[in-house]
Amino acid sequence: MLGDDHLHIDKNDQLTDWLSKALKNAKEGALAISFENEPAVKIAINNGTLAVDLLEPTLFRIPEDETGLFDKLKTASEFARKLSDNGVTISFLRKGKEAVRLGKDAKPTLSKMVTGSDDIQLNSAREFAKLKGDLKTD
Amino acid sequence: MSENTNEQGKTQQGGSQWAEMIGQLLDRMTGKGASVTYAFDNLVVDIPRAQGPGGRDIGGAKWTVNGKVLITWEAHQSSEEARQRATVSTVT
Repeated sequence: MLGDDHLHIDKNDQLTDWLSKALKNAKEGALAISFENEPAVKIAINNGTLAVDLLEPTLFRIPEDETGLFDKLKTASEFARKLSDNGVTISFLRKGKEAVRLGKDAKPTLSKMVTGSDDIQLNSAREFAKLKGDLKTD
Repeated sequence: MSENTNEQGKTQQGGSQWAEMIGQLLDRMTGKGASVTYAFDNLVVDIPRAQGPGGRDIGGAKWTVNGKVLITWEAHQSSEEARQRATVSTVT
């Protein structure tokens, strides 16, 4: 689609739609997505554990007025509780380094003092802060 | 409800959460470039059992996806219809 300055992938990309549905039932394996041959994200799935490595996190910046997944991350406790209840663990990595883990296999130690949740493990305050910074619009 | 059914239900709910999250993640990515490569590495997808016409059980399936899909967009000046043309290629 012709956009502001250059070509864009269509927002109604059917492969993306198919992928979302397929991943709902994915049990194991990995999917890596690149833009213009630059790695953007890698998703690894292994029986109830999902690792999302944001290799180029600035691609996922969130406008202030939008809500959704990343809004859930802001109020992560409830989201993490639901994941735990369903036996699911999600890890977010920033450029290969785990920043935060939510859900069943989260083992909060000191991070419980920060988050107040048994279902959130803050692996690296530094990486988490960087990730939050990357995802925030200027 | 049997334990097995409970487990299946939980997995499906967990899957819904994954799917919602991945969907939002992918939404973030669309519209940001002229080429996208999806590289699948032994991605195993369980296709749930389904019912066909007349309630006939048509079973489920297990897919294993490997390889790359490259999607590119090109601009063409020759005609309005061909102004934008998507190409999809599979690699390996």
